[in-house]
Amino acid sequence: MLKITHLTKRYGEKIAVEDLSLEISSGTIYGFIGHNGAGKTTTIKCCCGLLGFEEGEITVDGISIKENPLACKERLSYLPDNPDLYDFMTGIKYLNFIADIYRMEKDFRDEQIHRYAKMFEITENLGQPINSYSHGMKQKLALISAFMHKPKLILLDEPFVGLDPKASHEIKTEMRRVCDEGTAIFFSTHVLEVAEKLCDKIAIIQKGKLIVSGTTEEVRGNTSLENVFLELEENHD
Amino acid sequence: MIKTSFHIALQILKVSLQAMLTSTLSFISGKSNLKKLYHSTFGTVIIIVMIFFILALLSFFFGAFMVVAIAVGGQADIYFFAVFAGTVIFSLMGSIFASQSYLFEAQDNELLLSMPISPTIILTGRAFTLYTLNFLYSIIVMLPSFLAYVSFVEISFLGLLFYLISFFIVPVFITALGCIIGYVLWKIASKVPKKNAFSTVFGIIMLLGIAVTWLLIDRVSMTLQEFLDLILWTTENYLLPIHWYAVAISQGSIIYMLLFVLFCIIVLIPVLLFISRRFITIITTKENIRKKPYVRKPLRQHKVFVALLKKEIVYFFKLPGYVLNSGMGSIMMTIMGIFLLYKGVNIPEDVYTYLPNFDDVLKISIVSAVSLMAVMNDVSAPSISLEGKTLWILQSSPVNCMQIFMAKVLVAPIITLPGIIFLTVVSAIKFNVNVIDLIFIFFIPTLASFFSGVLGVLINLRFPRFDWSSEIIVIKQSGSVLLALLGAIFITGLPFIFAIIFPALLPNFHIGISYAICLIYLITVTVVCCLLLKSKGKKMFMTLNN
Repeated sequence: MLKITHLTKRYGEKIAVEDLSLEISSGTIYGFIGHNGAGKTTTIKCCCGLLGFEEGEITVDGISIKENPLACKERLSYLPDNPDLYDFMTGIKYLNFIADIYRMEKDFRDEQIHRYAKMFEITENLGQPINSYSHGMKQKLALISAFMHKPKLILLDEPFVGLDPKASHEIKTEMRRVCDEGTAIFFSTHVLEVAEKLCDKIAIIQKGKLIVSGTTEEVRGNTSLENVFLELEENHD
Repeated sequence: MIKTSFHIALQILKVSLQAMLTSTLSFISGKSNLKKLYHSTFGTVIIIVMIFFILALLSFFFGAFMVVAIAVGGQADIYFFAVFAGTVIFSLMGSIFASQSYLFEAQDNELLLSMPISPTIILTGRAFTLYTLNFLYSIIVMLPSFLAYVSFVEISFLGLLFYLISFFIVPVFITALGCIIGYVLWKIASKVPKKNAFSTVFGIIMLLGIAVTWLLIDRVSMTLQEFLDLILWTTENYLLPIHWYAVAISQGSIIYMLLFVLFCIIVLIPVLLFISRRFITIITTKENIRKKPYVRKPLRQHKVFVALLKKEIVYFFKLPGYVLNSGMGSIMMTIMGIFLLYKGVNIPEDVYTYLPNFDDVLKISIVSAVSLMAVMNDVSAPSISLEGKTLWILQSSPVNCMQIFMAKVLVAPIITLPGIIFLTVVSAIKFNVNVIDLIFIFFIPTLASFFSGVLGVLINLRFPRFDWSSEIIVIKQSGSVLLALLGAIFITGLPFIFAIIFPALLPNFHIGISYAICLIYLITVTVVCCLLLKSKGKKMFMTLNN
């Protein structure tokens, strides 16, 4: 579903991502872990067409993001870390706007929006302007907008930030459910326990380079993901 | 203790001024990094100086006119009353929303309140910033007015000294006034459910109020001298501080100057103390949003383009600063239309002796005036910048860039259309125009408005600003808005110069040719800009914020 081949991204002299290759299949939850400034956000942004890149190729469902970005974007949804939304809209109007953008049918959008709103317990807040929402509520609303149109690929940058435990649990359950239906999810996180329990596969990036990737069991080995991560950090230092 | 508090207030002022300076210097380049600014600083400074120069020149000419009309005849104190009033009005118009923004809506207010700094000190630091802004606005009016005065009238040494002192004192009064208005607006807005709608309506009422007052004054028939005497009587009896100011400068009176200085300082101190006692409440009070229970209703489905356009229009009307600044053309059209309906136009009969083609000249002048007012609605010029941190939504969406651009472009003609229709109807009532003329009076300004929309988006793509903390910074202080406005006025105005001159100079010149010149020119520039947008816009849009 998502294939990253020899991706290199530079910001002037600085190499943010260097020769990174990854493949995320349909139905997989792929965790992306790394220290602050490792290149996780840059990689994810390249995958959804927000950032251009100097070398390499990224395809979504076999379509090149460089050659046909619109076709790729129709198949994916993206959520940045701390997403800023249209504060001047109410929650329901924002979701309806996103539904229009993704050309969702009327009945389907109605069903999806209210199902997710009930799941995250923000139904009663849908009529309020987004600028009155707490950070957690905004995060929930943004997650709804990412999931509701049933994309084939979901790219999430730190999706669990600001979520209460119940919402975290709900989103993890929903991630598993949509993946079982064939969607691929590629997300970055600093919460290693979540990555360990949720992800089918994990990649660890360090200073722009892929250090290790594979199934969670392969990456973790006989120890915990945290130990693996800390050991890698030490070795690199 | 006092030394420490003063030092903290100065630090707050320093940070605010740095932010203001960076914001002003980056208004062309959109670069907030000070190092990168060095490359664009020269050009930016030139433009800022040019703007100040143009405004100062206007003040000078207006001042010179008033000096000749009033001060030369020995009524200098009325002249200085006018200078004072003009300074206050100009500064308040420039800073009225800034007062609310700097004092109560600064993003670091809560952070500062969590530190061991008293609200009074925080407010004092903010008031210093507001004072600096008001000082800059005041200079634009006061300095040229003073130069106009001394060009025609002798001034005593004390008068000169007091006027120089007043450069620094008048902004104190304006700051106090701004704080009061800012507080009153906040107080009312915190009670009404739709704060932004209230601010917008308030601003429009203020502008229309000035226009209506002008019309009412015009209705009262009195000679100039009677009018001046009325002003003098009013200031002596009801506006004593302004009377003190005017007399202090015109007559070099030490006592009146001291009274005026004391008045300005005495006004500011209690205002600051009053607001500082309520500062924490003001900062922490959330907007009065009535929590309505959510009622599930059938959702409406729109086409992608309609959804984008609707979003732009809703956003426009949600921001009072956006409506009042970028909708100025519509406001002017409304005022002009009401003025024409009320006053009409008296055309002297003998004008046809000098200009046999006067009717045609008038028709094309109407078209040009409506077109120039139409392009003053520079709605699209800040529209890319206003995406701000939400830019990722459109950039990651499966939406064609041209659809995004056209949605932003079309807001301008949509907003402007009611004004154009109104003036077309007024033209039909008040002027000797036929149906063909009316079609062009409607169509050419509409096309001009569309062109200004395209130009605005193009320029904003080239000079975006995303480092804003308040939308008003982008709407009022960004280079793209200024460039787009001036560019639209200049480019749109160009063909009208020829379209008006030709029928004026050539008696047999057909009005249709004037219309054709304007139409073909506008269509050409619009098409060129659209093609530029199509060819370069996508790449520019997708590399924004990278």
